Amino acid sequence: MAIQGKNVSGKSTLIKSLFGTYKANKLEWTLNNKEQGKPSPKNEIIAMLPQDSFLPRNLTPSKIIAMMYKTHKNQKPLFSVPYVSDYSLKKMSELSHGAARYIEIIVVLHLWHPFILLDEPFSLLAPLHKEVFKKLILEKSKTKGILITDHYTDDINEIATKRILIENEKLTSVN
Amino acid sequence: MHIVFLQYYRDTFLYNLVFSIFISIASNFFICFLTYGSLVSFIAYQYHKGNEYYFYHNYGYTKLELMIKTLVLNAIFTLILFLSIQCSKLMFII
Repeated sequence: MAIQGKNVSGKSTLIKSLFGTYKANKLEWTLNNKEQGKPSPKNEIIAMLPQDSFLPRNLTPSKIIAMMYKTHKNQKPLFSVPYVSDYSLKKMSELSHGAARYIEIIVVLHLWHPFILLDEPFSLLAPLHKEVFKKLILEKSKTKGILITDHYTDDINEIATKRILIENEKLTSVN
Repeated sequence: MHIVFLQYYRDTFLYNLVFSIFISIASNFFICFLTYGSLVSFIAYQYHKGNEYYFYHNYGYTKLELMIKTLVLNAIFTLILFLSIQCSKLMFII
């Protein structure tokens, strides 16, 4: 599902509220017709890719993957994604913005959470990375609920099954 | 103690240690490390690496949980360091 809208329309705020890092005045959400409590990262239901870089800059992707995915079995799918091995031994601070963003997306998409929120994942991505990302997102969407916000309409249209438009902090259309 | 948390602890520990050593010129190192040194380390982390909290959130840690665990570990570190210094002083006297 994609959320689209102009800048400052409230897309990121909505995503942060769902993730539990922004305190909304009122937020009610249900999962399988069951009302859920206060959103919190502790629930481990939702993972999130924020707009800005979030992986520790002093670590290498290889070290980060080993920290987050304990077993070799869980780590293997990440290293089998194209280009990940090429960047895995450089520190995050040494990677280009595009490569660092690519690694972040791959790490988040492989998390165990059933829902994933991606805040502007296409920004800074190289065309080759975009293609891999689109394939991966289509594959992951078979088993996970994925919510994306972005300004790259063409890219979004290729992968989104449902689109929501937000204007002036209000939901205006769904298709 | 999970390795993901230890990464956060390592970052805040360094801020706290540098600040507490600097402040210990005029004040007690141990009190500073346990109290306002810890507070300064959280503020410095938020300022320099605030977005990295999402790394820990995605692993299931809340900001409050990270801070409480850090304070507990700081207390243990301070106690061990304090006792070690006292023991070595005592051994030196004997």
